[in-house]
Amino acid sequence: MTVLQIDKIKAYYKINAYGNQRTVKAVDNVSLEIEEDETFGIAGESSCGKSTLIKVISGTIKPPLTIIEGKVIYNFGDESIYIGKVNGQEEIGKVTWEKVSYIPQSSMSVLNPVMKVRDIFYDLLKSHKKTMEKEVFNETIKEHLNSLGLPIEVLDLYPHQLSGGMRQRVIIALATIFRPKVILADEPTSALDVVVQQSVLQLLREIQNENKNTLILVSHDMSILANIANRIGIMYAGKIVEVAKVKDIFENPMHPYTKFLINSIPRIGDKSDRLSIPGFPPSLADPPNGCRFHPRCPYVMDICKEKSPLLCEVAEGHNVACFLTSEESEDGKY
Amino acid sequence: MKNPFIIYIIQRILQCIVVIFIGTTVTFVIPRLVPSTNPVETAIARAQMMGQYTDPKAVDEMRRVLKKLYGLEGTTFQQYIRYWGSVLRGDFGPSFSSFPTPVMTLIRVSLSWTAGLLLLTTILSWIIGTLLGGLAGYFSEKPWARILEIFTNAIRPIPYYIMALLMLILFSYVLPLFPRGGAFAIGLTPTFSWQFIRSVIIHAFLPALSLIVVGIGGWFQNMRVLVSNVIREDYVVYAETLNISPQDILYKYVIRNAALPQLTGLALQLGMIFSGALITEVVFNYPGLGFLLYTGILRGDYSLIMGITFFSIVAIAVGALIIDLLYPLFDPRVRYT
Amino acid sequence: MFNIIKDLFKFDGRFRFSIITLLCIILFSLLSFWSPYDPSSSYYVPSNIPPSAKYLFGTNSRGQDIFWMMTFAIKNSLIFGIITALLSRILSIFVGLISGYKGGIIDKVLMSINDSFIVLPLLPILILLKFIIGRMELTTLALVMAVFGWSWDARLIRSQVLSLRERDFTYTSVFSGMGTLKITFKEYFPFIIPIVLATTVNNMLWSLGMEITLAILGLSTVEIPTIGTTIYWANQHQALISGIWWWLTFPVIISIFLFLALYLLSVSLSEYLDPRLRIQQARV
Repeated sequence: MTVLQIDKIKAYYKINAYGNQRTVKAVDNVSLEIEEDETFGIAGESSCGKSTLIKVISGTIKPPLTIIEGKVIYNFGDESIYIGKVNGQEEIGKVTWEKVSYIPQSSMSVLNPVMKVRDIFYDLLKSHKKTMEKEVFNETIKEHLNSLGLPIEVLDLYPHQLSGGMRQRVIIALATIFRPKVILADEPTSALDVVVQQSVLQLLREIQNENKNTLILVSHDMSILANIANRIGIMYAGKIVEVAKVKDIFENPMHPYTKFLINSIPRIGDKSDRLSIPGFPPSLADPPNGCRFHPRCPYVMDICKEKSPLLCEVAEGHNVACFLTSEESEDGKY
Repeated sequence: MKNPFIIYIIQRILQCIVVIFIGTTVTFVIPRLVPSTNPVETAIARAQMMGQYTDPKAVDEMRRVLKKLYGLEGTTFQQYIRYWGSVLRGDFGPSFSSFPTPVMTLIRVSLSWTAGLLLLTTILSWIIGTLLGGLAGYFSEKPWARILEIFTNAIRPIPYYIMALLMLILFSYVLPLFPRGGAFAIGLTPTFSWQFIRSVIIHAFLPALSLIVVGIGGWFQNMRVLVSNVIREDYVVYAETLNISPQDILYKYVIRNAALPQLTGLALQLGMIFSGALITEVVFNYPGLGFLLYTGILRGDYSLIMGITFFSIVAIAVGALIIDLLYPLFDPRVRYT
Repeated sequence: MFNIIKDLFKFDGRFRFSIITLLCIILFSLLSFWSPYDPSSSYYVPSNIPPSAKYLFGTNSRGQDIFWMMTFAIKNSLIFGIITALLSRILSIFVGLISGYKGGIIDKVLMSINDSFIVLPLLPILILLKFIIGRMELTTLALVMAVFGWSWDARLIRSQVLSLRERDFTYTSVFSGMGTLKITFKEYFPFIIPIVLATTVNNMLWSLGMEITLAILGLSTVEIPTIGTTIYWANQHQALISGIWWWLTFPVIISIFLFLALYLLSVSLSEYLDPRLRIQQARV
């Protein structure tokens, strides 16, 4: 069942200071359908809009970020949450932690430095399960930490006393205590060293196996996604350019950008030179006309400079947005 | 190995000593840098201006005594050591104008009035200003926050003296609600009677009000700016994503964190607040250190002024130290590794 | 640079108010050059006349025309404030740059001294100094104030330098063999200028306030008209009690406007310079 439907979402940052206006088109016409019990990876370079996409999905939309058009719908069977524009007004449904939780990018600073870990858990439980008593709280927290392999002593420590890996595990504990149906993880491992990375990924995988939830993982590191994801979506300059099953992305990348990404990953035994992509990622405030990748694309054609290709199905379960594989463009014309 | 907490305490105590050292040295050095300063001659000139005939031998004797009184005998280095001796002993010699009462005695008497006024107003204005500033920073869109902001913006740059004068004019002349000055009504003796206490409160009201208003203006603005930065911190945004109640977020996440630099600011501003209190006392004839200082100026009482100055330096340095030592109570990052 | 002023003027009400007010005050003080009376003379007009068409601000008990006295007073106060601010800039820039760039022991020592100056209760110290030194020229007083007024701003400059130190262009300069002094002064200076501007205004506020306070206590050279000495003389002649309210009112009102204008100027300048605050003000 499709648990999350992202439909032609456009979310821009509109900045207006002293009479100068700048619009950053961070998420530009993104559509995705994500199933339950799947791990979906979103890959892309820094500042391609991944974090903004996560913010929109999690409902953390505050000025200067606004939804220009499109919608996001969560479908939990009995309940659904709507985020989008209704009659020109933004309507952001309440995305509760019990259904959708979030593992943020910089675990370094997301925990309140003046509160003990225990108190942060209390605050969370208090705001969602108002009728629980203290003893039940304590038991719930203890059980949960145990199942994640976290020592209970962690509860009485302050965030700055924990190591990076511990902090990340605490954050994962906070994200999973209500056993949500969807977990959004924004670069959960980028601040950690490789050994700890592995154990954190392992933890996420175990949680997913046990609870059968949906895990949406954003990362710029393709090898992590290869490790854990079922499907991957490649994002470039605010747009999704390719979506496919993991195997297909790695063995048969169809978008030129994806090809570059895959080729840049070192493989054991392969000593050939790694190519990097020529040029720089575009500024989201002033993106190139037509296909946003065209200034750096070795296969660029005339049409690429004028029109933006539509993301459409090219093979089974494999969607690509490129004029090499299809002729449909975003404004509906051919 | 070393506990960071202990290191912090040692650093703070050292800093306190440095402050006292620098204050004392600066007050010693600067007058000696400006040529043609001679407090003895100035004092004698002042006395001679009184118009009486003075026997040259008497003038010489006065010169000798004054030199001794002012600690100006001997080489510069000897004077410096003697300076330190008197500061550390708390013995600033006898007051010139209230001879032979020791300066320290005069200070002790005035101190309780200043301390009462200062402590009360500083703590009150800091707490109120910080809380209001926190609320206004968090709810910055609400109209009441905007009004408060404009109001405090107008108040903040007004110097203590002018505010005190304004209060005096408004509530003592225009609307004769409060007495014009003093600490208690003439004729009353300090006892623990309700009559006395009531009189004290009425007399202290205007000076306290003037200090509190200026204080709140400053602390409010500061806190507002701090809060506007804190609400964009990762842990606040994360707490909001966790759907933690806005009440909890406001007090436990925003204000508790923004108050930390605000507390440090209190330690740094102590000197300024103290100066402000002194000048307010002068406007209201409030018998604290400020008024004592003023009479010292009027009567040319050098040792009194010197005594008050050194005493103030030490008092403020210790006050800042106390606040610095309180800080770890609120910030666990300093308490533990 | 003019674009900045234009932008600020159009969009920031506080900036508008403060610039207009300051211009008015400066123009007023420039009138002093056309004054028909010598500021140090007294009893040249009838005393204690309330404001009227002939005497715009009235006259005081010393037989001086308050209007013309105020032009001199404002001019002297302004000059004093500017001199103090400029002199203390030199110290604060120097200390801030060196401390921020060098770091280590030098930084610790300098900052320790710096914090001491911040904490010191200035009023008693200044009173004592004034008392010992006796008659001081306004410029000497400015020098003394400069010695005490650099510390707060030095800290601000230091934190700016600390962040600049980590940037790439610093490493480039170091590797090409630039000496410390050259790096700090030549390379960092353009970044420091905005902070220096904002703090200069702040510093003027502070030194003017101090000048008024000292003068009121009778410690200034009372022959030179400044805002502070005007209030001093008014008090000496018991202006309020005698009902000569105009003697006190005009300096008080003008100084409140001056302070407000300077404060709003510094606030709007520092808000403009803070990139984060700019973005926060975005309206969708």
